[in-house]
Parts: sequence; structure tokens; C-alpha cells
Amino acid sequence: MLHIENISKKYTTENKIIHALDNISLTVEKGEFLAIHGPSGCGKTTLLLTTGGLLHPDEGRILINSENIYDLSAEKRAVFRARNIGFVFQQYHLIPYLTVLENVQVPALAQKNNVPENKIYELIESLGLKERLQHTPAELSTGEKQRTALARALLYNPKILLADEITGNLDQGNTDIVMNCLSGFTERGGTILLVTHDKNANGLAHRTIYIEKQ
Amino acid sequence: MNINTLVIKEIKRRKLNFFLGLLSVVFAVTTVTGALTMLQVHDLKTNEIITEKEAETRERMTLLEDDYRKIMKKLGFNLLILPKDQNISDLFANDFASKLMPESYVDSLAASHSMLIRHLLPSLQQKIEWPEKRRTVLLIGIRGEVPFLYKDPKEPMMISVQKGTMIMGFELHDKLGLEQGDEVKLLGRKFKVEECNEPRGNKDDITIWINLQEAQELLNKQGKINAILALKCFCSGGNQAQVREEVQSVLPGTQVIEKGSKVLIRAEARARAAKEAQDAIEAEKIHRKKLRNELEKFAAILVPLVLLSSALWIAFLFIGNVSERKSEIGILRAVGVKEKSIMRLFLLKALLIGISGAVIGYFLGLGIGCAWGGLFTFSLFNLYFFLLVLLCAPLLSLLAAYIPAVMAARQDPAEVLREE
Repeated sequence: MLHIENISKKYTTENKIIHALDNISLTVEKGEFLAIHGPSGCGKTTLLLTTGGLLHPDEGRILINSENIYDLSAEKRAVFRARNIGFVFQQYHLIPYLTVLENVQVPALAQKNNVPENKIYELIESLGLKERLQHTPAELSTGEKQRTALARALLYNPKILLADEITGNLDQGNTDIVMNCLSGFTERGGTILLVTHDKNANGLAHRTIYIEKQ
Repeated sequence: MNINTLVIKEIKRRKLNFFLGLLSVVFAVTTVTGALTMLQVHDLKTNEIITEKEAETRERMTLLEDDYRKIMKKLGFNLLILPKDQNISDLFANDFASKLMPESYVDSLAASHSMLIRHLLPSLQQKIEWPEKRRTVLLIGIRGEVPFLYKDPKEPMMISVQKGTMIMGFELHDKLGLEQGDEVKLLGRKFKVEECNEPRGNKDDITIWINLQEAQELLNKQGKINAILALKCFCSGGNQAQVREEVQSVLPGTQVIEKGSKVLIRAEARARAAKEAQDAIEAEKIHRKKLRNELEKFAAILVPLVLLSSALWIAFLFIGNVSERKSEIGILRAVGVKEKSIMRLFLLKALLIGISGAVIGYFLGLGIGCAWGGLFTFSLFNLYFFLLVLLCAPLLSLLAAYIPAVMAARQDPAEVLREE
């Protein structure tokens, strides 16, 4: 399903070169829940962004269903991303002037077809946001924001969900809701790469890997 | 959810940003429309002023025409009837006609049915040496006004000089120390000074008027005259030629010339007034044109400056907007929104700013232009220009927002998302 082959990525700052990823290879199967651990600055987020087609690696390939996504043009890669990949970030990245319902619908901007309304409401309800439909992010709690971001990522039922520290700011109750949702996603055949510091996630993950800081 | 909804929602959220952009376009369009309206108002006012002045001139000229007609009718004009063979140059050079014609001519004219000729004054004039006083004088023999046979008798304009008397010009009686009642000899005949004239500043000052018959005897030109003055002939408009024809039909052996009269002076004054009025209109036109040129020059400098400032202002506002929406752009790119759609987000907003600014700015500029000129008329609404503004203002806004939109589209989403 997902093959990460010998990818390397380095950042150049004013006086030094940082090797964020150094020759990483990884295979993730369809329906697999992979937890990625590692200290801050070890390149976990870089790995997710590279895997999601947002950050071109300096070396190596990312194959999703045997297709090297970096062989695609930027436009085609955007279409590919819209069809296959969902992102959830620690900082939610909700659009501040849209309501919960509208934020969840944001991926529709990149799609040709709209998700039927009842499916949207079902998704929102499953994440406990039914009462918050018309609220803007400023009116939501941290957990509600993260659940909204998760609903947005899952709206078009992507093949791969890339989640970066999504439980880092959550209390136990919200963490459980989020983790249950992720379990349900993998049960439906979805693949998850979850970057987390939360050791509890290991219980739900099918596999856990550790990235060492260079 | 679509891009349009997102644009509207963003505008509602960041009202100040939209308002400042709108203000910039409104300012630019108002300036352009205002400047153009001012020029239009100026032109309309110029036309109004010129039309008004022309109407005033026409009215004044009509009044003058009427006055002229009345004056001509009332005062008539003066004709001098001379022998046909009289050389006019000699007449002006010598101050009298050297050729003669029968005195009976005046009777023939008086016996005619002329409706146009009025007072007839026959005379015999000759410049002579006054031997007794050793002076050159102009001797004029007059008979007084000859009444028309077929018209109601009126008090004559001039009566004849009594025989044995004379009327003396100022220069003569002054230099010779003569007074009314004195007796003098002229060509051997005694005359009593009947009247001493006041100075007139012309040949009258060296003239002696005596009875026509006595003059004919003294000059040995019995039954002759050399001029008939026809005073205050009826005249209206341009019928002087008709008067001449009438005289010459009765007296074919004569020629008729016009003598300087009030009528001519009035006519000249009228022509001068007409010229002055025309000159005033021309001066007004030049003044208005100069004013328009100054306005045009001012607008030519101001308009591009305002457009440039407006474009820069919009560009800076959009750069700020792009910077503020980095995270939003990042997530949109992450969910697969294409670069073109990101650009559309900004360009659509710029388009809305441009269209709203064009409509508001046009009518504001129109209002300001009208208020400046104090002229409120629907004719100042120019549909063609309005449509042009409606096309150009959004274009200006789009051009200004284009680079920031490209910056937004090319923004690296990974950079933003990684920073978080």
C-alpha cells in the first residue's frame, strides 16, 4: 500500500545543515495503524509531510499503491492528495471564520463531488460535535477543535490518514473519542500513520516504530 | 462549500481588510470620475455662459437695431445734392462745390411728391477774398428752407438771411473785432452784422452767411446755386439708395452724396458695440479654455498618481492578507486544493473590491463633480464611461492583487504546517 523507500530530507539554515530524514525506508499495509514515536526534532512531522506529498524529499521515493507520488506534477499530486490522503495536525488548522460544519466540508473545495449531507452529519455526530455545528473554532474547546479537524480529514474517506500529535493537547476523554475514531477508520480498511508521544496509542496501533534523532 | 462561499465568509470575517481595499478603489474611481465630471461640468457651464452671452448680445443688438431704425426714422439722414459734373475731391479740398446748377432745381424738388426727402436748403458757396478786410472767407448765400408744395407746411428748419444782413463765423468777428449791429462792407456792398456765431471748430468759423440773391449778385451768378442740402431725410434700414434714386429721378443733372450725420455715428457705434460684444464672447471662450486646460493638466497628473497609489495600497493589503492566512492556505493545500483555486480565493476578493469600488466611486465622483460645478443634471451620467469604470476598476484591483495571489498559491504548505 505505502512504500517509503530510502528517503532523505535535509534543511539548510544559515550556519548548519539539519538532516531531518536520513535514508528512511518503511512499508505500511492497507488497514494498518502505525504509531511513530521519537523525540522532538527527529523528523516525524517531516516524514508525514513527505509521505503526504507536501514536502519533496531530497532522495528516495514514496509509493502509494505502486505510484511514486513525486513523479506527479504539483497539480496532479494535489488531486491525488485530495483522493487518497487525510491530514490531521496538532494545531488543528481550522479556518477561523468557518463554522464546524463548514470546516468539515473544506475538502469539498478540492473534490468534484460533494459528500451527501446525511453522511456529513453522521460523521460529525460520531465525533460528538452535533451540538457544535454552527460554532466557529474560537467557540470550541481544544478537544472539539481536534475532533473537527479529524472529521475534516475523514470526510472523503481517504486511504491514508496522516496524523501528527493529534492527542498531544487532549484530555483523556477526548483522546479516547479520537482513538476510537481512528480504530474505526482502520477497521474500514484505512491506513494510519500516527506521530505521537502518547504511549497509550501503542495499544491501538498495529505496529510502533521509533525514530532516533540524528 | 465552494470557493465563492469561502471568499464571502472571509470578507465578512476580515471586514477592515476588505473595507480598506474598497476605500482605495473608491478613492481612485472617485478621483477619475470626479475629474472627468468637473471637466464635463466646466464644458457645460462654458456652453451655458457662451450661449447666455450670445443671447445677451443678440438681444442687445436687436435693441440697437431697433434704436437704429428709430433714430434713422426720427433723425433721418443728410444728403448733399450737387451738380452732376462736380468733382467730389475738389469739393472736399475747397470746402465748396465749384460747379453750378440752376436754383430752379430746388423748386422742382419741392414740387415733387417725394415722401422721403424733407428739409431742402439751397445755397451758393464760394471761397473769396474779402477785399475790405483782406481776408479769405467762405461766402454762403442761403435762401432758408424751401417748403414742399404737397406737404403740410411746418415751421422751417432754417430761415433765410435778411437782405443787407450777414451772419459771421467766430474767427472772423473775433479777429476783426466786430459785434452784432456793426456795419461792414463786403465786395463794396454794406451789410449789418446780424449775428456772431460761437466757435464751431470747422470751416463755419471763417464763413459769412448772406441772402442767396445778394450772394448771386455779388458773385455774378444770378439764378445759380451749387448745392442743395436735404436734411433729415426719412430713412429706415437700408433705403438710403431709394432716397438717392428718388432725388435723381426728379433732378437727373445732379449727384447725391451723404453727409456725416448722427445716424452714421450711431451706426458706427452699433458696429463697435457688436464687435465689443463679440470680443467679450471670444475673451470668455479663451478664458474658459485656459481654465479647462489647467484642469486637464491637473487631472493628467493627479489621476495616474492616484491610480498608482491605489494599486500599491491594494497590493500591500493583499500581501498582508496572504501573510495572515498562511495557515489557512497551508491546510487548503494539504486537503488537495490546487494552486489555481488558491489564486481564485484572492482574485475573487479583488474582483469584488473592484466592482463595489467602481460603483460607489463612480457615483461619489459624479456627485462631487456636480457639487463642485453647482450643476446637477442627469446628462452628466455617462453610461459608456460608467461601463468603462466598471471594467477598469476591477482590472486595476485584479492587477494589484495578482502578485500577492501568486505568492499565496506558491506558498510552501509544508513550511507552514511544519512550523506549527
